[in-house]
Amino acid sequence: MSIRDKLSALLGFDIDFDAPVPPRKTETAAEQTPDEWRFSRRIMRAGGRRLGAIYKILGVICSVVLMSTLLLTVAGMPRYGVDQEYMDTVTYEYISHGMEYTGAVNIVSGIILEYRAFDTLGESFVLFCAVSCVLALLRADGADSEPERVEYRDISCDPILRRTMRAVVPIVLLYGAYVLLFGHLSPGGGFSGGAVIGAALIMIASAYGEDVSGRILTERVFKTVTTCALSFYCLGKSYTFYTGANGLHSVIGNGTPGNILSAGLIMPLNVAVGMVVACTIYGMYRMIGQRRF
Amino acid sequence: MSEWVRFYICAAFAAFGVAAFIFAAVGVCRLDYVLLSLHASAIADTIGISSLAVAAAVYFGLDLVSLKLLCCAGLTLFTSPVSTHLLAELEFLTGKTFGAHTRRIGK
Repeated sequence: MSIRDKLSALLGFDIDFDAPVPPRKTETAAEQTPDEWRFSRRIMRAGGRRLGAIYKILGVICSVVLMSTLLLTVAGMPRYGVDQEYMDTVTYEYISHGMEYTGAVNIVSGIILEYRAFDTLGESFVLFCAVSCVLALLRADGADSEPERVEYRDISCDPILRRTMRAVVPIVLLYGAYVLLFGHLSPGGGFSGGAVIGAALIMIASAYGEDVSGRILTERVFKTVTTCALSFYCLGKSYTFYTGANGLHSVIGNGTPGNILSAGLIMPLNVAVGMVVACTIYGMYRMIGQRRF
Repeated sequence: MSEWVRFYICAAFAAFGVAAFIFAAVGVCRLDYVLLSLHASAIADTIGISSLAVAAAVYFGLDLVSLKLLCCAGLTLFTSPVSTHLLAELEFLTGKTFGAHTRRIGK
């Protein structure tokens, strides 16, 4: 009796170690009719001769312009350690007046969601774009035919994993909510809290299998949540920037620094960013790991 | 007096954690098969991180920071063996050379 038979008897089910691996389906060449193929090749050959010289000259010019601009900028910067007061102006402003202007005890939150709010908005859009690109690629893959079912080992029937996740997931979700909601008071914020919540969703999905993980976040929910969060971010930040730049009275006050309901829009914006991040992480896991949304 | 007691408890936990890490490093270097080196690296994941976190918590005293550290230690203590178990299970289910290293014990 070999050790494999013993292990099979121990486990109670048979393991086929020497099962043949199914051959991978090879990609066929791009399906183009011969007419199209000849036409595009002719265009490429004709354009290649003419555009080749222009392309090289333009490339050299662009590179020289870019290089000289960057080098001149570096040369014009103050030397490190000499004009320290000149360089530290913005930092000093943030540290000394940050809490007074933004109402956030956590200076980092105040900076990334008030002073540099458009930067954070761009980062959220980057995440949204990444998920959209993966979604588009997966769609392009299986547009005509049913996407081929990928066989993978399902670990979701493991009782140890299930029991542990049942104990751990609520705590992790609670902690993620805490990091999101207290982002303006303590270290944390939208990105880290969203990552924690996304990890908790991945835990649920990996512990309870495909039938549950498909119900957590459908594509429709993902689109709705992400679009609403990003739109809310855009509108809210536009409003505060508009009123702030023109010296108008804003409905959204700063409140008392240290309270939960303070610091203007920072807490709602943290929640918005966190929802985008959580949806992105879970969507990526679902799309890349399980090949469908 | 209590300062010294705290210091000794903290030092004991830290030394225990560092020793676990050293054992784990030696084990990962010396054992070549997946399951064997997994058995070594799980020591670092489980005992090393937990006891270092407990040592830091003792060092800071009763505080919000030390509460967070204790939470981290507890979470690691529960989740790290599960992840090791899942890795070992995947190796058990899919590994091509599974029987090769264990046959000697089986006979």
